[in-house]
Amino acid sequence: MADPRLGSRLKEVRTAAGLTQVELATLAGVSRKTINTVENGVFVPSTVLALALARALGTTVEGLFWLTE
Amino acid sequence: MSEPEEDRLAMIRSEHDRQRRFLLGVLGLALFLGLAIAGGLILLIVPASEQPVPVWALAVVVLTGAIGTAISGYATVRARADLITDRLRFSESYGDGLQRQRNHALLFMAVPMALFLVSGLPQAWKLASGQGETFNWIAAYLSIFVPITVGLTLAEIGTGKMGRMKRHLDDEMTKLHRKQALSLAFVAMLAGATGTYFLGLHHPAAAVIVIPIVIAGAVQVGALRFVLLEREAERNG
Repeated sequence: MADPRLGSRLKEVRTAAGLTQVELATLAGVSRKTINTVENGVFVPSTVLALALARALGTTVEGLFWLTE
Repeated sequence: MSEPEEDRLAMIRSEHDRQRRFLLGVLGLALFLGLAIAGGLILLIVPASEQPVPVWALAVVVLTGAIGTAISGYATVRARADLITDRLRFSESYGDGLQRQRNHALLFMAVPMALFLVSGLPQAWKLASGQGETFNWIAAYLSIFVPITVGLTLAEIGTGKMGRMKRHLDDEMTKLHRKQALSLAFVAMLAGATGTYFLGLHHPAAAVIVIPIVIAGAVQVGALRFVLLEREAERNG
């Protein structure tokens, strides 16, 4: 569930890569709503999903997520 | 005509085709079920009147049932293949399409669950009162069978070897929603079981009748919660 300590720039990186939520979901092997909820801070992804997203977007996990405190 | 407009019209045509096939599938299934019930009644009633079951009657039931099943199966496979193609074409991933179908099925199962409960509970009451025959036993079993099936579907139990399909149905968000839905279903079941216990202290036969209602109610609460969480995640994130 949501955790205020987690910062995310997933949406920013995804749009910069020219991908839709569906395309990123297909690349990461999850549903579109998982991408949607991670982008909106409703859902905190697991380590495995964070790594899969980073790989799909050609970046590192730290490039997508960080601790705000 | 612009390209988005062509796409929209193609989607509408495709949706209409799919609905026609779905209707055909439902009609085939209804034909099959109707004849299966008719066949069952023939088998139950004719022996009671000490008349042999006419071979032609059984042949008609079996043949028409087979045709109904074939129509239903063909239409379902075609409609499903079209649905998956459409989802991919019109910007929905394979996993999203599968999850949507599973959620619709969970909601749709409330209908047979209610029907079997309404038809099965009077039979269970007869059995609990010390009466009843084969038909009563079958109806009483069916009243509990559908809620259990829905509960297993909600918990994703029994899909261990579905491979790719399971991976798509079971992504991280869905697992979290399932956990939340099952927690609520458990609380509902606990409340229902407590009430049934106290009822059973005063009217044991009535408690037996209430048990399928409690299970069905708890399972339906969980299923509804699950579908609502999934919709919420899809719309607002």
